[in-house]
Amino acid sequence: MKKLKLGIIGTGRIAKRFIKDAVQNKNIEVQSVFSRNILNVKAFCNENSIPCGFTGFNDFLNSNIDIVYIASPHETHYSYSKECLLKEKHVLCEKPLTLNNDELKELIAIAKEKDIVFLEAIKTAFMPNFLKVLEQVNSGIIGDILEVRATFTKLTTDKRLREYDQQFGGATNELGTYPLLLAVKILGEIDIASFYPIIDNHIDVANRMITTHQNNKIAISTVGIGMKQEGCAVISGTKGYIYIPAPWWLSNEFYIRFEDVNKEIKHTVEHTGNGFSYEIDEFIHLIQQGKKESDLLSHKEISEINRIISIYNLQKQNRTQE
Amino acid sequence: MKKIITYGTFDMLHIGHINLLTRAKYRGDYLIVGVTSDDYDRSRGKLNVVQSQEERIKAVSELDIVDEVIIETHKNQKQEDIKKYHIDEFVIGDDWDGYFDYLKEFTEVIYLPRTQGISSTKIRNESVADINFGVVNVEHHSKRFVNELGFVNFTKVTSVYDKNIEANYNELNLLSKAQKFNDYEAFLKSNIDAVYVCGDIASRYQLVKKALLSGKSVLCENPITIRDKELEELFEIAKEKNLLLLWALKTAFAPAFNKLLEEIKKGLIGEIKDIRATFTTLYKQRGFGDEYVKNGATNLLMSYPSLLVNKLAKKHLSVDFFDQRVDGYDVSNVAITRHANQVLGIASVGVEVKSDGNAIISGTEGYAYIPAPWWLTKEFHIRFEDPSKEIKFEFEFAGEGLRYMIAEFVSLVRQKRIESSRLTIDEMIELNKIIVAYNKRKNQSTTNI
Repeated sequence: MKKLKLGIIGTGRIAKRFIKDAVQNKNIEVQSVFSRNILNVKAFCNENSIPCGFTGFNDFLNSNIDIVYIASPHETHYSYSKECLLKEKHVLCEKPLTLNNDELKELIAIAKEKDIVFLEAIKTAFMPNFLKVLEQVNSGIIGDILEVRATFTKLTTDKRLREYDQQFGGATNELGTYPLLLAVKILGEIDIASFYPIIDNHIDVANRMITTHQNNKIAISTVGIGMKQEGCAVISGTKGYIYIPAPWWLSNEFYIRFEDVNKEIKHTVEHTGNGFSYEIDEFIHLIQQGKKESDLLSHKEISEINRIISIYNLQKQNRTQE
Repeated sequence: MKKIITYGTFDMLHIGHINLLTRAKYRGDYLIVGVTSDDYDRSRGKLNVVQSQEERIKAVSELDIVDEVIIETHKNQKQEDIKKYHIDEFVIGDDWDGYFDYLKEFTEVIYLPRTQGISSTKIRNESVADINFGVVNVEHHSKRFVNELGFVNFTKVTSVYDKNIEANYNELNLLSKAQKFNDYEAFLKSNIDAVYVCGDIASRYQLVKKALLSGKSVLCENPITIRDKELEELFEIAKEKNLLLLWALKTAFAPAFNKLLEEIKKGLIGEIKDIRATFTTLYKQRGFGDEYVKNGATNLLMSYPSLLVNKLAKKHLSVDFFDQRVDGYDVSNVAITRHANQVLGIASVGVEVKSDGNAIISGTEGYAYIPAPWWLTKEFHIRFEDPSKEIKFEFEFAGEGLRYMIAEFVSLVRQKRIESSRLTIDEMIELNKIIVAYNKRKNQSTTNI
């Protein structure tokens, strides 16, 4: 089968880690990279032996690419995704896809109309340990699930970084997708979202998002860039609970525990590389199979996660205007 | 200058202590005395101490031969002190012969003969009167209480009240025979110093009130009441009568829990921002009846996680509840409390849901992780972004932990004090407000709150 030619948008921290796993994929040929900054483009091409680099977006789009990976700043995801989709390029875009849910709906509609794959790069959703957790949840071994909680904190002290951008930064935009993924995957659609942020100089340095789902089931999703917490996840049921140790989003093990501590069951599911290979495999698989969306992360699920982050951004805007 | 150090509890300071201290002093020029803290004594299982830490320190400080008094709070402190104070000789009574030889690595170790025929134990045995307990209601909690009371010296159960006293009395397994009552007024008039109350939650308020009005100090099972204003009223009566009323929240009195609070307050994790604790238990699997479980997760368990939140974040400014109900009672609940400085408390409980019973205190620089079951604190970890910087603390923890609470209660009753520093009246009222607020809201709406 012909290799798919990949174009990468962005040369930042995550793109640098992504490409290490991407070059290992036999179905991909990294064709070009785009960034506004010529020095970054040159350095990225040199380090990763990429044939073409661009600072002009149209040149990049016309550089004979089939698929695009977007890892640029949050606020640019929408416009880059839209242009790529309109040009019928399959898109794998970093989280959060957009900061406004209407924009995401528009992108999903375009992808459907053009018959193009549009996937959010939430790598955890495709990793084997995580899939094993979901399988165990669905098996009923811990009974009905009443609560899901997950935490992702990354202390970031350098206030010049994009995490501290007053308009688009903050812990919710930066990290919120991960814990919300667990909430939505297990408890489904969200009825009400309540936010308990910690605000420092207009930035949410931490946030506690409490979401209620069908039958008042709840999820507690915690994120922080200015607060540190154990990055574990706990799924609580009527018969027992699942504990995924920190860092739960990259873990290769989890425990099923009961009232009787002797009945603990441990599962170990190893993964390879930085964990990006599973999302890349899924992305390529969907394209090859002519499928539009993933069974592991549907458009509905992507949109539900995004809706919560969008609601928070809207509340934040309103607060700023006050 | 030759510096000497010695250690002890120095309970009910007597001539034997003074002889030993005098001999120690004249082996050098400067005498430092380490007096054990209450928590340290309790954590190493010494539950027979009669005087409080303050009283013991005061008595030792008043001796002319003593130059300096320090408090001994933890296991490896002796060698730390020896280095810190540049000690030339460690001196101790010869009843410890050989035990402290490991300190020879750091300093000279001398065992001095003790005065014959006198010891704190002997004095206590001869002069300390027992605290006589009356136990109200025979059930799971009072059985556990009686069992743990056996570990606290100079206490006994002398009266038991229960509506079906003849049928239930034997279940208590008392060490010595107690008087049996099915009449509460007569029970209160019997020869008792203090009362332990458990049984049906709704009835506790009346039982406690009558006991206080009869001049008895009261230790009451969790929760004392779930209705508004009752607890405040009970404390008013207790204050007026100069009596102790203590809520049996055992965690508050555990030495390791108090050590945790002390360490956290030193600022190791930066500014505290988020305090969360979970307590779930599948009561039905543990053999508790439906009636008990129907009290709901909040009434039965919420005060434990609320205690941790309250200890570190103080009064709450607002509270939200996220509960889940089956047949009208809460099988699980999460109380989210906002406090000053954007501190958030997340207290979770469940009676028909199982979750990891850990507690996490998050700060701007790191966090403390207390593994399940956190309410029986045995160890905790302080962690940072860099995992290699982890600090681990471990403690002794005996039995169900009730003995520490009982030791505190007995010590306060003996001293005729009406408040514990480990669980103050204000703290108990604050904890009760959460429970009362939930019950009010639950009654207002049968749907989601």
